[in-house]
Amino acid sequence: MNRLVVLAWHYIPGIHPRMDYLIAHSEGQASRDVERHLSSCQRCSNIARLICTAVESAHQTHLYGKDRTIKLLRETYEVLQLRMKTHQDQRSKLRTALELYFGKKIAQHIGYDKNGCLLLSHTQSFFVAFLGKKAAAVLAQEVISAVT
Amino acid sequence: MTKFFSHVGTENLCYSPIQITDGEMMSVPPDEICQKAQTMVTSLYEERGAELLHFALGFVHDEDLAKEGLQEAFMRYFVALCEGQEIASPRAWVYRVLHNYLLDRIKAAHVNLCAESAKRYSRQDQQIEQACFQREVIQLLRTMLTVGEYKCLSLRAEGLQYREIATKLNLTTGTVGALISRALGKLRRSLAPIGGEAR
Repeated sequence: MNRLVVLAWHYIPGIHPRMDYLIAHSEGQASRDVERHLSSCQRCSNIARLICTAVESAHQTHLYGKDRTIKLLRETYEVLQLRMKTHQDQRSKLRTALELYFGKKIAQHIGYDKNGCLLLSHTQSFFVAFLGKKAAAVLAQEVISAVT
Repeated sequence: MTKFFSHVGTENLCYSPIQITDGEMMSVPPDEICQKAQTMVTSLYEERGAELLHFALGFVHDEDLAKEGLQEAFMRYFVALCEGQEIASPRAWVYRVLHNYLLDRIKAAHVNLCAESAKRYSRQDQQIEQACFQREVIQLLRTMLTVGEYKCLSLRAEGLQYREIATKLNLTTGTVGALISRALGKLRRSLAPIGGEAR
């Protein structure tokens, strides 16, 4: 742990330990610095307490299969799945729009990086270099409107 | 071979260059990235969903808001993975997003509540002001009019007819008419200097 960061937790109000430290603390992996911060910070001690309770409750849910929690989890996951599907559809539509405007090869180069991730935010700046700011903005808008 | 497409003539725009590697381009189809992201989200949800739900419930004590927060946190995790973000500690990341989201929602609800209560208080203020004004007018009328005139006028203001007022006060209809007309005359005369009118 960086000493400077630890000092900041203690002496600068509004600076708090990262969530993983609080999780580690609530799971019993106590660190002296985190303990010291928690003793003086209401916000973080509340979060740590909530995490601790949540871990225990989740353990009980897994053990005894609490119906209410399982129902809530299932409902949430159904909506989440739907939203993920919509997001995927939009991505593929965007790819189609880029291909439509620039052809498959160029769209591959400007649309995705080596990991296959969309680069639309970068793509607009890429257009700027060749077309100018205004034309690039219009083009990007056209591409997006073709998707939505 | 790696090419750097720097932006010619756009130095002042401060865009970062885009790194494109030939050969490695599109080695992973984009849909596969989404599939992979979905698998990661699902496994984290199965593993930690209950825990995060309990955390949200403990934080807001509202099932709907807790569900919404949980859904939003996992959705943001999915989008981040699709965009190629590397998240070292997914559990802590989702916890942080969930916590911040719930905090934002609570703050927004508090702001709405404040605005509503301000409106309510201003309505109450208006009502109190109106009641005070009415009291003052009544006091003024009492000092200006005789008891008979005041009684007749207030009953007329309640919507009673001359005959009904006469029955109620044991008077003749003519007397009631005279009293009301005298009261209105007094009011008219007193309001005339300030440009008002009594009907």
